[in-house]
Formats: sequence, C-alpha cells, structure tokens
Amino acid sequence: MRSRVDGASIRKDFSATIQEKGGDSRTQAHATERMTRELFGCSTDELYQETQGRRGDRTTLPQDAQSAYIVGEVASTHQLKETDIEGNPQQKHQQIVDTVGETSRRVKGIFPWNW
Amino acid sequence: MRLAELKEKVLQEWQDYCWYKQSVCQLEAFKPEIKKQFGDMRCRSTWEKALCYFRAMNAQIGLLDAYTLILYTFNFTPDRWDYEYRHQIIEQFLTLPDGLDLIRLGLEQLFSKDFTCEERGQADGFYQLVPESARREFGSFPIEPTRRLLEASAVSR
Repeated sequence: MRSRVDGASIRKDFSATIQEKGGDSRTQAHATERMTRELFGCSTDELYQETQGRRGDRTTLPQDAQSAYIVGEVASTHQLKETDIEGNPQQKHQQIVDTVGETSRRVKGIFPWNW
Repeated sequence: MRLAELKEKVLQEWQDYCWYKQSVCQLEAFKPEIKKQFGDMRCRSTWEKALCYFRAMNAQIGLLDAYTLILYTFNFTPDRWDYEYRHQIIEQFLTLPDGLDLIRLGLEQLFSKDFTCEERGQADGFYQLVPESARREFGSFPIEPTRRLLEASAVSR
C-alpha cells in the first residue's frame, strides 16, 4: 500500500536495508557517521555543535542539513540494494559502511556548501 | 566470553573510539592506555570495565538520532555478543553527562507518531533492561542510574 513519504520513512528504509544486508547496530552507527563526514566534511558531533543543534535530535539541525541527510539516505538505500554484500559479519559491516560512504561522496556535490 | 575474546572486543571498541574521535589509532598505544585508565591488565574486571566504557562512549559519539539507542544500540537480545554486559554498558552510559537525556529523548522519539506500535515493540531488548535492573540488588552496580532509567521510561511511555 502506498503512503506519504517523509524523512522518518526514508530513514527507516535506510536502516532496514542495512539490516537486510547483514549490518548490525554498529553498522548503523558507522554508516551514519561516514555519511555525515562525506556530506558535511565534519563529524556528526561537530555538525551538531557548529549549528547549535541538540545531539540526537536531527530536527534541531538546519533544514538544509536535514534535507541533505534525506538525499544521502535515499541514494545509499538504492545503492545498497543494488550491491552484493558478502563475507563474514565484519566484512559485511565494512562493505556496507564503504557503500554508504562512496554513495554519499557522489551526491555531496549537489549541495552549495560543497561547491 | 573467554578472556582472549574479551580483549579482542575491547581492542575493536577502542579502535572504533579512535575512529569516531578522528584520532590516530596506534596499536602500541592500546595496552598502555588500558593500563593507565582501567588498571591491572591481568584482571578480567579491568577488561570488562574498559569494554563497557568504550561501548558507552561509542554509543554517544556521532549520535544522529537518539531513538537508535533504543532500537539498535541498547536493544540487547540473547544472540548478541555483548548481552552478558548489557547492565554494565547501560549503567556506564547513564553516567555520561547527557546519557539519561539521550535515553529520554530516544524514548520520546520512538513513542512519537513517527513510529508504529509494531516498530516500538521491536525494542523489547531495551525494555527488558528496566525490570531486570530494578530487580538487581544493591551492590556491584550503582542503583542511582537504574532508578533514573526507570523514571525516564515511565515519563516517556
């Protein structure tokens, strides 16, 4: 059944895809950190600090930053689904994190702060 | 968990910690740091303390969405390698300056309209921590964080 897509549902798809590909809670956290570093050129903690946001609450980030995460999550979800993730749990972890990192690097150029 | 395996897990958590902090991770610095920060490396308890410390720190650093603490990081199920240390890890996390606030925030997010009842139910491994911790007698673990965790859960649920 179709329903309205929003930031929360996009994030859930991204998380579910990581799980389907064999990632665990550590993979979820590392993939998110890699995405932040590629999209914004800083760590997640630095992003919150420098934008006066509240750690753990992305709704307190600037709207452009929230939008960028949505783009990164959509692109990474599609790429993960198209990528064969194989090997032992550690290998799967690394492949998932690298796929998210490389995908985020490809899309970061559309954001003005990276021009 | 065998001691050798425990040491390997501590090493991995320490490497993750260095990665999050974007600091250079030199293997030769690992054991001196464990000894300096946690004590006698011949004692199993030293390695257990180190494991829980780095697990807690790595849960906090780089946290984009607090609800992931509830749904993933602290959703301890018996099949997870860190299940036996679940109480120490969460209690270590609650000693961090914003540990309790992040748990509360995570519960608020999970119990918002963004999540369905079914999705909330997937965090059973976290909810189980609360009654288990409450049953724990005074002694080896501080009771104060446990009481605060109970309060945070009561407010959010």
